[in-house]
Amino acid sequence: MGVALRPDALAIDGILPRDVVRATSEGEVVDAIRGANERGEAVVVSGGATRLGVGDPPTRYDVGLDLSALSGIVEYEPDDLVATVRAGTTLAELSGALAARGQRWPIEPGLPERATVGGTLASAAGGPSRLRYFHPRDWVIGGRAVLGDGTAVRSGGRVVKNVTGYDLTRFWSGTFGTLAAIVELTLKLTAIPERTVSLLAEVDVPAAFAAANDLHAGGLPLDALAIVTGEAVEAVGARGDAALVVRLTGPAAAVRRLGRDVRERVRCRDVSNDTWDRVAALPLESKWTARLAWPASGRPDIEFAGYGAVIYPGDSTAYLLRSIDRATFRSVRASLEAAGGIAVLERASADYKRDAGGAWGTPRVPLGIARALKERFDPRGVLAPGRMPA
Amino acid sequence: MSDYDAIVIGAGHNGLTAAFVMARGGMRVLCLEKNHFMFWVFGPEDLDAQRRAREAFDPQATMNPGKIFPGGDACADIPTERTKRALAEGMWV
Repeated sequence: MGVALRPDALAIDGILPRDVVRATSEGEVVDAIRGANERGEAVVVSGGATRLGVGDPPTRYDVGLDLSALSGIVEYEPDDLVATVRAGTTLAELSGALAARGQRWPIEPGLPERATVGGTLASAAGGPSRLRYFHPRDWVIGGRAVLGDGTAVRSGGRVVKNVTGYDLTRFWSGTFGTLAAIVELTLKLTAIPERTVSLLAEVDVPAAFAAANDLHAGGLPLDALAIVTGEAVEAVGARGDAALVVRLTGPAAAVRRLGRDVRERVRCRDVSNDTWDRVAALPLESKWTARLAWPASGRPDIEFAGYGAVIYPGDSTAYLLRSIDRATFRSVRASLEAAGGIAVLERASADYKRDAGGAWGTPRVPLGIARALKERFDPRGVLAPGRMPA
Repeated sequence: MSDYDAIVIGAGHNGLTAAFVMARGGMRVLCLEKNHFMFWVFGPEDLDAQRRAREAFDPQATMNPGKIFPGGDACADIPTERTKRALAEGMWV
């Protein structure tokens, strides 16, 4: 076993684990989960702990199973655009290894020095990259995981063309360590574009939405598109009510042409590409964060002016960054859900989550299915009991 | 070679369809696939994990039984001696 950490590093909503196990191999993960089954303990798996508090507080929390030391590249095949890495590998470590060959894993969950590959898939982390590269699960092709009963299993493979059996690797996406602990992933990679340019426009909120709609719906092949509002504007090095941030990537000539197209539509200036790290980090560093998403056909009736938020209009998603009173949140959630959207409390106190009707809102997966899955993959309920509805 | 009228290389969507159409038309067809059967790709624990997912969604195994996992039921239960032999050998039919 690895060195035990101080339990307060893995506190969830003020709840501390009794012990912390820092696993450095799949075998140690198996031992920790089997041990928990034998002793009837509850285990919460963590990677970089950037999204550890997402979900309802665990009903029991005996052991924090820290996988951040289960890291490193297992196998890298640049010619096949495929790499197999241990789950605790940080996005920064991965980027460093791949950049040497002009490649990357194009997922951008924020805080890359801490966020791990396993945690990114397990928590279905979103971010600026979603506009062009969609979901983390679209960039995994196989993996290894330890189920709630301590069984180590493999799914998928190490080649891109892989169609055998059920795709359990993608199935772990968004299960937040409640069915299995991901220990290794095989990732699909892409080339680093020749040129990347970021542009920022300081505008008011309606103008930001109008410009975003014009750029996105106008069919320009943007790499990322965000609106930052309220007090968050300053965090991206801008001033005013709102900042519209656009990222363009591709061959140098194409990016130049695109840049001209964008500037014709909205007055903007060049900013550092690091701006996106700050955009992506905002929902992870806020004391209170709610993620809203709505069907692409509509837009929520929310007044963002003067209110701290990061909005990804191309993905119909917004992260609210300043706490609103619980009754207001409940009504926002109700109207979004009625329209086919969601409102998830990603960061909030345990009592806020409770008063708001839970972190997740109305479950999207029928409870009977969620329960059946939990019973089969984690029959004794040792993995983060209570974190997700089941 | 005289055992077959046609040999199809690759048991993907098109290969299987071609093989099926020819076989239905009375030709003797051999369809070859280089990829391993999933029972050679995955260990028993890996397959069991896939079965757990199936059981959670479809406990009575009413949806396309035998399609992914072998069993003596439905699609895989075409009553030919060859199919029975293949199933006994753990092949994916």
